[in-house]
Amino acid sequence: MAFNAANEVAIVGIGRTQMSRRGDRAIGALAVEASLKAIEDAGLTLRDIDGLSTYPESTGPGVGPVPGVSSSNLQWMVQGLGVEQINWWSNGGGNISTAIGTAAMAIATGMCNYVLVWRSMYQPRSGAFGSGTRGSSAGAAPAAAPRAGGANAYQAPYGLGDAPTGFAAAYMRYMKMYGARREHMAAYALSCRANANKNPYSMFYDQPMTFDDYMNCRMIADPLCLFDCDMPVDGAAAIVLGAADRAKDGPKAPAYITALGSGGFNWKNRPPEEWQNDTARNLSRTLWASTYMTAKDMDGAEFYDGFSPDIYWWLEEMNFCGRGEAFEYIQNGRISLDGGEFPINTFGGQVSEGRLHGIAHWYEGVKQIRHEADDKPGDGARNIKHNGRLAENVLVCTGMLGHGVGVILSDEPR
Amino acid sequence: MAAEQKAIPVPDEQNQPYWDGAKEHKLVLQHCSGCGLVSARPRVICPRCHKEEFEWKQVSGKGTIHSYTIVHQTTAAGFQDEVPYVVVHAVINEEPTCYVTANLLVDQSEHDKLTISLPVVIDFEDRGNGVVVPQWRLA
Repeated sequence: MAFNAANEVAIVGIGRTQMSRRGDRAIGALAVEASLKAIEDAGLTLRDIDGLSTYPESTGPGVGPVPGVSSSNLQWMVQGLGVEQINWWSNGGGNISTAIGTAAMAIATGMCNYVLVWRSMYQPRSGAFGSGTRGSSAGAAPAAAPRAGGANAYQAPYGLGDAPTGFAAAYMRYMKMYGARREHMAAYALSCRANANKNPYSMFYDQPMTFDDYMNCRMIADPLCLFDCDMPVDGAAAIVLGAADRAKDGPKAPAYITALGSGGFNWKNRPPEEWQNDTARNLSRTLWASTYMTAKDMDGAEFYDGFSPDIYWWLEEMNFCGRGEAFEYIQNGRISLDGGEFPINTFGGQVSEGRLHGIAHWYEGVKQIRHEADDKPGDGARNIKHNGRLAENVLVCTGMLGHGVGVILSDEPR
Repeated sequence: MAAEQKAIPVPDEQNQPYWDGAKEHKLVLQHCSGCGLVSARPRVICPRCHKEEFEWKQVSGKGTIHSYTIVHQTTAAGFQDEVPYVVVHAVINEEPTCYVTANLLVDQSEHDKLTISLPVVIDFEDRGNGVVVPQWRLA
């Protein structure tokens, strides 16, 4: 049981927008801009696109999604882009990794020629980002106590609901089980920030971070400080997938999908934030079963990092180290672009670039395989190098909480 | 704006016995009639034996800390003035897959001593107007 279409699909185009905080552009406009850039990057026109795939969840809390304004779902994009003919589409799944995984399958099975995948993010201009039941803001008249029904009846009355609160507990358990400390995570935060300082799209491009900055950062939900959380932004990115046999005719070097794995969580009634361990483990098993390559063949990785401890779970479940070892694995520059043996999240990760909800990891994976990971065009400032050799295989894994998909992107079929 | 601003749990057909139990200061959980699986939140079908019948029964109210966090910044209504506060997922003694989530009512001076696997016991916090919520305390 494994993906049996390795080497048959490639990512042939990528595009993205600038990012901002509480910007004034509609989310649909961002999605269209990123998509048109990806299509052009692939050497295609809109008429070539006959497949569409996205994860449509609105990212603005507390308000219903308004198509085009706060959600760029599939139905809206058909109109927003002006797509002529759709042979296959997918408008659901757990997250953007699901949309990309199913798109690869649609290409491999001949359902369509080219699939456009996009994800655009929206940060409301008022209020904090989160999903909790919130009270009135400072200075406002006190509101009546909110009513919490259904599952929320078990959360909101306890001050639960913001995403960090849940993930913090899972991270705290990890630290207590294995003896990890915040000092260990500083290695990840600082490595990401150094990468982000070579990435003009990053919200932190001009802001270095020191060890003391990280250790003194304000706590959100212990042990997660602000710098352990990704930053909400407005922005979008898009990728185009096509059949590998046609991909080499395009203007850019294809990023071949040479392995693909997928996994979901198991039923055990654990706190939800621990489901991601199941997801990563199942993804790992199916991904490595789809290729002869092993962890040792990877030149680097782009791992989803909604919160920094995600990195520990990815590294451990994807077989880069044993369980409970990742906090030591990342020390001593190992994950750094600056001579590290295994650079990860070379664009800065979501913790130091901004929260494009997984698709930026795929965008960066392609940049690495093209050897075009730039600060300024052509300088390759972020290119992974091992003894002067540029990246041949990069692992991209995103989506953890419900469903996840990971691939190996390679510069040649393998 | 403090405690009285906290979200009020609204019982429904599914979980009414849980909140009724809380008013009587009892931790009452759903037990599968087929295999005895205890669930923290009501299910419509048992994931282990697929029976659809359940009974609501009081449990001992004893458990251990599985995981926890100390919240320093929150958007949750009524909690802004209560930071830092503790949220605990505790596994109950009767069922290793059953996690009951609540605050840990503990003095801030004890926060540094918290860790996983500490024993906890259930308590009940009366928030007025008939609202009673189960809470954990250190055993």
